Amino acid sequence: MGIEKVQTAGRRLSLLMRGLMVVLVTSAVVQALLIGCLLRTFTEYGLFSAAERAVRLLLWAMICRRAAELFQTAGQGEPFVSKNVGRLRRIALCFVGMGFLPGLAGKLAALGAPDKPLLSIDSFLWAALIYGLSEIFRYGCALQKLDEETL
Amino acid sequence: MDQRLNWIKKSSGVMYLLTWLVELVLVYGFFTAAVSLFLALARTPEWESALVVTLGLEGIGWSPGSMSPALVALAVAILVDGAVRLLLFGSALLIFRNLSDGGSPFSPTNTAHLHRIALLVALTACTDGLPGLLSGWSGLEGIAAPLLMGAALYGLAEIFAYGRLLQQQADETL
Repeated sequence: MGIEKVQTAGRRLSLLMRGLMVVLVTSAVVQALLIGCLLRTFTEYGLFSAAERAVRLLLWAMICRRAAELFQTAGQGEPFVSKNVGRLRRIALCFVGMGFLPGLAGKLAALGAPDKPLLSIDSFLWAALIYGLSEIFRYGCALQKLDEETL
Repeated sequence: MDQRLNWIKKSSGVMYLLTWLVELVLVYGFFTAAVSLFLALARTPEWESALVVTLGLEGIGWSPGSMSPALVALAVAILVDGAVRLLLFGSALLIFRNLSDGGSPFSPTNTAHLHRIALLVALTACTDGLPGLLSGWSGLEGIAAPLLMGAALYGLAEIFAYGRLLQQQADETL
């Protein structure tokens, strides 16, 4: 009974994540085109701020892609596979990247970004939480293997 | 398998302390904002500037003496958001405590806490993202990101529920 619920949720979430990925990539491309078109009229701070938004959108798209792959395996009834541990770690890495992004954009722009924090603490917390989940998934993989060996 | 459980136990101990630290900072922030809001509602002479400084709103262009009702509304929104975050980190704290006590990660309590975290994360779209969007503080990302993370965490909670079945079978086998 438990696995059917996981499969249904996995299939739906996989679809949702794929859809979001398309939207995010499109937004990032539009943002990049906007930077290209308005390159001359942008101030230095505006340029780096727009570039930061484009990179952030791409990072979210990468998170959605990995999450879609993870939930696809859940949809197939096998959430605890070793590849999912790697996927969760890559998602955690994307959050680490997002944590450094505001500070990096502020440092690169000559005018700086005085109203923005150098590091995004929220992103680092998410990264730590998701890394922890990846370790739990590793334990889940061992349980799954034991279950298969028993059967 | 025991080695992996031991590793989870140790790292959860560190995360438990870290989450406690965050929870303490959040409690401090929540009470400071609550006292400022109380002063604002009591209309003491310095209330407005105190509220602007406490909530860190000078950086985004708020100045004392402008749009007072909006300022109070924003303070209420920040307080509600603070309460949601307190509950969110409180649930994470309980998960890490269970894990650092050496319990199975796939216990019914952890699954329930993860479901609650998913719901609370999605709720921050209303408590943080919406006021942020209305006040020009943040863009659509403030609403979309918590909804996305809430959905993903809900999926992970369902996977945890399946892990619970695997754990039961493993316990029965051993």
